[in-house]
Amino acid sequence: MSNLLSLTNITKSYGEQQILSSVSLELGRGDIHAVVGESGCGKTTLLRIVAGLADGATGRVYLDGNDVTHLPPEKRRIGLVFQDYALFPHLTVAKNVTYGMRGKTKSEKEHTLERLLAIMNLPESAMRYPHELSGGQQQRVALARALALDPALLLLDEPFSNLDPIRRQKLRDVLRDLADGQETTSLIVTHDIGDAFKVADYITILKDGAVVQTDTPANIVVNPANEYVERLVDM
Amino acid sequence: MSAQRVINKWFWILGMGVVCALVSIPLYQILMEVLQTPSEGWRLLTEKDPDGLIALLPEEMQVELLPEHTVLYERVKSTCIILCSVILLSTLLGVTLAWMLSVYKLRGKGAITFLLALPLAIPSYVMASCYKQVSAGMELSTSIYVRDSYGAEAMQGYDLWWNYSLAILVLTCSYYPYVFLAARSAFCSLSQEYVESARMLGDSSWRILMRVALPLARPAIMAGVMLVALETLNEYGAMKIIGIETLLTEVFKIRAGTNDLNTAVRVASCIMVMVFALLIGEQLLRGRKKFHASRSGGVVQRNQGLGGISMGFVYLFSALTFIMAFALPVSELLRLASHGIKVTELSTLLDPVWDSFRLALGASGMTLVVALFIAYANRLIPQWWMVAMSKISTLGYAVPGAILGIGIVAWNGAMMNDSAAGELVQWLFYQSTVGLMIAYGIRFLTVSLGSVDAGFKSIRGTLDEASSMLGSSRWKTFLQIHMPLLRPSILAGLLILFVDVMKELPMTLILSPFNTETLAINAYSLFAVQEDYARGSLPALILVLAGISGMAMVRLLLRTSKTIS
Amino acid sequence: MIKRKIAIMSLMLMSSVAALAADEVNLYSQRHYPADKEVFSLFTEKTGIKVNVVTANADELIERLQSEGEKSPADVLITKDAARLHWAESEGLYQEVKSELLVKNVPAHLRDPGMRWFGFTQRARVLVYAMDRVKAGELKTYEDLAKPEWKGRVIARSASNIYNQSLLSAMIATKGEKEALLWAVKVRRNMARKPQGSDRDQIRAVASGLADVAIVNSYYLGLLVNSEDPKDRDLASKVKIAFPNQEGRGAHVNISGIGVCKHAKNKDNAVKFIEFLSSKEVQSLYAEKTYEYPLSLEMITPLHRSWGSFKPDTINLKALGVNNAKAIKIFQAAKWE
Repeated sequence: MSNLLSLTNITKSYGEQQILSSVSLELGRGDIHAVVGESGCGKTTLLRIVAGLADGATGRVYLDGNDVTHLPPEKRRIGLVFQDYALFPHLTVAKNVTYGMRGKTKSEKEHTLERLLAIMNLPESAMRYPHELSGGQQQRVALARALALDPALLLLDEPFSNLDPIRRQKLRDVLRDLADGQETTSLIVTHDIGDAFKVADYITILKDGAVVQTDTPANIVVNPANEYVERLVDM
Repeated sequence: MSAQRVINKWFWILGMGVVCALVSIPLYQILMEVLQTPSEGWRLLTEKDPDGLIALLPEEMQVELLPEHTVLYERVKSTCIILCSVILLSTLLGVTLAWMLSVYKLRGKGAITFLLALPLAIPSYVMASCYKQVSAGMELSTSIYVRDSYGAEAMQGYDLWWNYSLAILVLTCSYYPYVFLAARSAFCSLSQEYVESARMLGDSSWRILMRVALPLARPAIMAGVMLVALETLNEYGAMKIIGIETLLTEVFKIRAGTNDLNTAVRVASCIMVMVFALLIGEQLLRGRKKFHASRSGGVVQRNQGLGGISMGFVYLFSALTFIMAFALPVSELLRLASHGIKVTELSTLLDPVWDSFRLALGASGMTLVVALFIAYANRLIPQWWMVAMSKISTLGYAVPGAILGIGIVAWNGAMMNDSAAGELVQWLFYQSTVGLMIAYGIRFLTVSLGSVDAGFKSIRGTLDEASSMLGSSRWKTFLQIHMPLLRPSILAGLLILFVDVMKELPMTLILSPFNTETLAINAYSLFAVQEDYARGSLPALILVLAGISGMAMVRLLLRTSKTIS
Repeated sequence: MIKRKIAIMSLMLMSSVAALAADEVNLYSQRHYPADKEVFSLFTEKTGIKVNVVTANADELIERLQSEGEKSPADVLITKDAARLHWAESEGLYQEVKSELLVKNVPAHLRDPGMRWFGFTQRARVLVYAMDRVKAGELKTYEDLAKPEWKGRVIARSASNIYNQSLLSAMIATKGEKEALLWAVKVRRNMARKPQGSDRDQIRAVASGLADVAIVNSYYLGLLVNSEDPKDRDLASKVKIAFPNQEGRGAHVNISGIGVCKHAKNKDNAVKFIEFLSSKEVQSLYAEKTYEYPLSLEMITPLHRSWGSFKPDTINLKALGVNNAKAIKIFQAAKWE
């Protein structure tokens, strides 16, 4: 099976509320896949389930053919860039980025650090602290940190929210490079369908916890599944 | 949910359960004792002529001698008088000082705040001794004057009034910083806008205080007032030195004289009733207000300038308070120490210093670990019942130290019947200081927990998750992420706890095993029992110095911690 | 050859003496005066027996002994007053001691008839009066304090003070409950202020004119006269001692006492220690350093002589313990707080 990530019938409720209803998804290697929806539609919860940070859901999660549904997050080797970046304030950029690199030699760590900082365009930043960096720089550090693990799957939670148009473009370029160059699969969660259109290979539209349509951007425009999708596209 | 997660969860829940059980033991035991039939000593307190002795006397004497109220009534009355007066005065003083500092433009506010909080470094029994020494001469001469002018009866009344006033003064000076600090902190986090809109609407400073600031700051101030109330109910040393009989001194008297545990526990439970009344009162008063008065971006920054006279008044008032509550007692201590040094071999102080130090260290270390456990458990399992259990575990603070001690002694007695537990109890409380340290932990857990919990809350949950995603187990996350970020809170909590344990008197008096004499006990017995004020001033000074250093270090820590995160 | 044998034998003798020096005696004591430490050193010097002391309040010590039971390491228990000696004895914490020396050195009224505890210093409860307001000889008995002419002029410590309780206990033993109660009521009425404060406070009150006569322990005056603080010496110069009831039963005395613990492991050393306390050497040391009275009132210091000789009440001090509970109740009924 060439699909990297496979979600089958993910369902989660919280008390009376149905957060996710039978959501199924497939991600191929090297895909950039965006999950789009309004706030409260359950997309962040879906992301967290993939990451292993949320429980109480039924359904299965397969990563590279393995059933990881009950595997704790620290064992899943998935990179996650949080919406608030979650950089460790007491550690330098270097220490933040190499944090997840267990069992690697010092030179390996230095090498990876250099490489990633170059890719992220963060020269001379290794010894700075997070609070000394701008928002955009912090995000790039967070991305570098996630990538340092060499993960097969990269998750991004609303990565475009706090960025101006230029930075958004830059981020889209980085993700594209990763996907094409290293076959890094990315799952992005966003409320902005425009961003999704510009970067994703596939888009899943989520409404009230259920999948409305999963398709390439082109197909969504041409064949919207229903009125809701039409309206979304028009915006 | 994975099986491992389930097991982990139970570890934390059970741990919390153990802590709650430990904390509840003394209270439970007190309840058990109270439910048994009262022993003879109780009759002495609750009957007016318990042995029919007065009945032996000729008629006309009987009428005069039969007391108006029972001993118990009198004790409750004196306790209430002291409690209410101290609460009132310390609130007035604390709030006024805090308001003046918060709203007016003044130089050296940080330093002034620190100085005004310094009385916390002086244990109340030390303050009482100093004041007694300083005022003794004045008391005598004014008493004689009253007798000569108004007669012997008047002098008796004057004497009583003098003692009460001295006690209230001493306790107010000792405890107002709790209200002061709480109010200052509350006023500081008051949103600028509230005060400014009130000012635009024409309110003077005074009205702003009454109509806007106070109501908004009330919950925080109430917390400070509760502390004052609890400390006052726990007050033993100062009362004994000044000569006022309260419920608590009665408890000690019973234990010393007749060793009647049951009666002592009964009197102790009267105090607990008062504590519960206070707690419930506080909850009721607090319960309705749910709004948040604070916003980030401190307070009354654009402070009101003051005219020269008013500014002078503020400085004067602060200076007076500082002198009364700190400078005066300390200078008296120094004077006494100058005599004391001549007659004491300094090496005799080494033992109490060592005892105090290792007890405080051991207790704070233990308590810190428990506090970290509880705070972490709350982070992992943010359910309402976890929060409830955490609240229960902090109950120890509400119980006056002496009562906690009595409860533990009662429990020890009960355990002695069972040989296995009896051996353990023997070791814990009679042969080692471990039991005493656990008791300190039960009493002061709140202090540590408050600090640690606040520290934890300031670490965003996403940091935990990021660490998890990057492959770290919970334990690694705790060590590499939480601990470094918590350092200032942990240290601050540790320091405050350390000083509190060193100062503690009533519980230590009841529970310390034989060969242990802390600085607090040393100072107290020299002051109160042997009346050797010169010698007693030396351990007292060490205590005060320790308190001052502790407070200074905490202040430093809280300042530097603002740079990170 | 013979020289060699003598040498070897004396070596063996010396090493056995050294082994004896590892001997010890364990004290649980309520007293902790510096003078006590001197006495302990003297004892060790003389006998080679090491003295280990633990000091605490009598009630704690007694509670401790009770909970320790047979495992208790204590050899002797020392208290500061007779009532507590009696209490310890009634709890079964002491054992009988057979010692001719103690019978000789300790007067009969200052030791337990059953030979389970022994006093080793005395203190008299005396009347201290202002020299300028009271004539010598005006106060003759404790009962005088109850007379109406002393209204507003008397001062004393509170009822929780063990020495006051013992004074009243002796009175109960001699004169009965009712008389004791009447006395307490009347004296309380005559007080210048509510009973409170320390011994020093009482004397200070008398010296300053607040009251004219106080009930205190004798040695306190010694402490003041010899104090470092000039204020204390000044106080002492303004007052004088009167020994009450000299024509009657004598002045009330109390003792610091000692007994051998029931489960003592070093009983012989303990007995030696008690006997040592009754020796001339120790008795005069205490008289000099703590201003307490020695067991024999012949052997007193110049200071004591300056107060005048006195006749003590020879009621057996066991009575102080027996009536203690009653005394507390009588004080309460008399409103003597």
